[in-house]
Amino acid sequence: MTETEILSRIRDHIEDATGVRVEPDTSLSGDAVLDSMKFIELVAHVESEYGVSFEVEELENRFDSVGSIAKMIVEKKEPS
Amino acid sequence: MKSTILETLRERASDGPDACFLHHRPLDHSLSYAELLEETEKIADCLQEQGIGKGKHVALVATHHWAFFPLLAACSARGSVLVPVNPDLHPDELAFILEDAAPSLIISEESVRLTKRFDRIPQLTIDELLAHTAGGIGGLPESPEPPEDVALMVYTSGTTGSGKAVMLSQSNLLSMAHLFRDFYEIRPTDNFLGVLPLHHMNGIMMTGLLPLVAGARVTIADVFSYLNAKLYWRTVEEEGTTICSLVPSIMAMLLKLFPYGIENGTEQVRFGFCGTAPLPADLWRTFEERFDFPIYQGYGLTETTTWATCTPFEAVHKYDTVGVPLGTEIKIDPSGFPTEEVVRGEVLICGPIVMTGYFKKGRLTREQFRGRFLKTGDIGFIDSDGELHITGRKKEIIIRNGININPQEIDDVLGRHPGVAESKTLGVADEISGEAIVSVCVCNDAGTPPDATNIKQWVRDNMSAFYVPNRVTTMGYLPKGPTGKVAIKQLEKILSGDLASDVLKKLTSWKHKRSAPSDAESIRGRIQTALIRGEPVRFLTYWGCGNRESISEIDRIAIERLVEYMSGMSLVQQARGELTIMLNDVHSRINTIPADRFEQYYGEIGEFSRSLGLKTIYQTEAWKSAGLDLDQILQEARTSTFDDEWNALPIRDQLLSQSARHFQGECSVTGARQYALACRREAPAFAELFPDDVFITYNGPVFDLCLPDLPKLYIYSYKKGKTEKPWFL
Repeated sequence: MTETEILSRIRDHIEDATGVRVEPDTSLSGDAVLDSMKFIELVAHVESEYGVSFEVEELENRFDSVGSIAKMIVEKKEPS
Repeated sequence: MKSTILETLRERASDGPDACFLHHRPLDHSLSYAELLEETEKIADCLQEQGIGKGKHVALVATHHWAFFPLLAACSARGSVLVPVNPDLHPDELAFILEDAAPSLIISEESVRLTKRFDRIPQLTIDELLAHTAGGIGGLPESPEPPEDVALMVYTSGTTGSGKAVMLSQSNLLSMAHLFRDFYEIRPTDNFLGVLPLHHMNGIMMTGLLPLVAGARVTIADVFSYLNAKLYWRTVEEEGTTICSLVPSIMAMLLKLFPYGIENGTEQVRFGFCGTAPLPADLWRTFEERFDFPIYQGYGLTETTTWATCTPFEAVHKYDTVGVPLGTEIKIDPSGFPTEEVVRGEVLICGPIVMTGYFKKGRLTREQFRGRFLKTGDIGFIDSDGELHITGRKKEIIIRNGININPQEIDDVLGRHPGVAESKTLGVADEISGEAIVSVCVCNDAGTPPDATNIKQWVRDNMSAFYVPNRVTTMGYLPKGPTGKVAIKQLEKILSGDLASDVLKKLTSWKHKRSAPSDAESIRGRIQTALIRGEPVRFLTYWGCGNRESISEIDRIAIERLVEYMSGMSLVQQARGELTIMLNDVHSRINTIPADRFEQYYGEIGEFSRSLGLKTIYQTEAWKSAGLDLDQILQEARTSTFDDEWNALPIRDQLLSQSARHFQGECSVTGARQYALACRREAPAFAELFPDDVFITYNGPVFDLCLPDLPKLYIYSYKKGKTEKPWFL
């Protein structure tokens, strides 16, 4: 799956969960889009859907927009 | 309870001086019981130097610092009162508390910045307090102040004007801790994990005074947040936690994040405590199953130090009660409640954990008590096993995630928003946080009406984050009772959709209903939208001419019945219907009815309908607004381009036979095709023209294809079981 596909699927997922269509660079921090419970649900969804796991530092620093999440998934998927 | 905090601490320090009392994980700082006593001595000296003695207040503005414990011990020993304050409060609220509590010393985290007005009060940072070296000046007295003295003051709902401080004595605090220790058999080998802030009673008691009286250990970890939730079980494993202190929202997040449980690290966990908000049965059961240790829930208020009741220890427990009294006496006051088999009423609590009173609020304190019993404002009953069930609340206070929120304060802030005319904030049951805050706003005419995001931002700018509503709904009005007060029950019914369901029930009563509505959900949604806006629910129906020349008795009866149908829904408060009858002159034209005839007929129908308060519209006008062109459609129906659509119509035969009866032109097949095509073009166009409407028809669902693409109610025109239908569709 390409980064663009992942990006679009996560955007769909957030739209289904919240009714809000976010842009790739819309900030997900604060509670404008996701409250804390929705945020946790998104983390759990992304981890199980793409078979990846995020560290707390990654959640704090980079799990902030759909674009950045998709990028992290691709990085984690790529054999290093 | 005759002992004091200092005496307890001295006892622990002498029994096991090297035993670890506390590990502060973020600072990686540990404190043995002997060291805790040393810190207490140092702080007591510092207090003495600052002139903090009996009756003086010390404010601690910090989230979660271990210094809380030696500070509390030192203050209580000197007879002064510790006032923990949440540093994340809105500056105005923080200022209110500091003004109200009138501390003689303010101790705060480095990051806290207070306004200049507090410069007159001596201030220390926590680091400065701890850097104070013991002067051996005897700040810590040999015999500490008596246990009945107030030691701690906790603000429960803290915005300007209405905040009140609960005064708790050393006796309250130690009684609570001992009751806990004995009931749950807490041992010196126990190891608590605290992730709740230390300005809230739950954190102070469960992960502070309880381990202290038990001689146990506590880990103070970062305050739980959705960002650090992933670290929770790792912390439990690394610290060797045996008792977890939880709240429902934390439990819900852990369930979400660990859908398959955890492999290891929790074998040593004996149980978890859960407080601050009602714990939903499903969440409770699932959590116990997935993480494999029991959770004990408690019920209490800040006014009862922590818990007044709790889940029985080590027994198969129920999931729908808050448990048995914990060293308290509980009564139910049934006055004002209907007499039933179980006695329901306000829960009253008496016992050693009940507060001394509210600070500077003597009258409020008196009102809060009936004799020795504290009135909780909660409604409940006691079952045959002696367990308490909480079923509701007398007061309007919203408790979200264990924080008391007075909705009036949010409404006061919303009232200052330039775009809001009035508002009503209420709590609605929420599985995760106990209650969610919903603010209903009525916008005024000043400029563009603010949206939910804007209104939330306004609250965020003016109050602490925990006041920000979960949901903001703008309505066209607020339902009010005879005295002008907002009718809360009514408002709740509108918001929950129950009122819309009631209206739909009226519309589909046996008296009128011919078949089930085409799309009940969509109709309910339209009713809901109208209720929210404070507008009538809009209905549309067709009226044809057929072969009639003037209004008949049956027509009159049918129209009167429509009026009655509309007024039936007004029996549900707030609901109104507005019916528009479309006079189908275009269809009559297609059927080649002479214009003078149908004009006469529609004129009479229109006049009669309007005299009964209905609205009318000629179909010609609707065609014009929708941009439909009759000549073009009549022409297209004659050509083969329409063949496929026509042949696919399941009601072709019915249309042909109707046309044979009503069509007055040369070829009734052409007539039927023209009629069908006109209807098919109207269907989407009228749905757009009347976007909020519900369509009423005397036909069955089979004729839907000839009607606008709107959700439909199928009713009888004449009386139950009868549809006199002289008109063509």
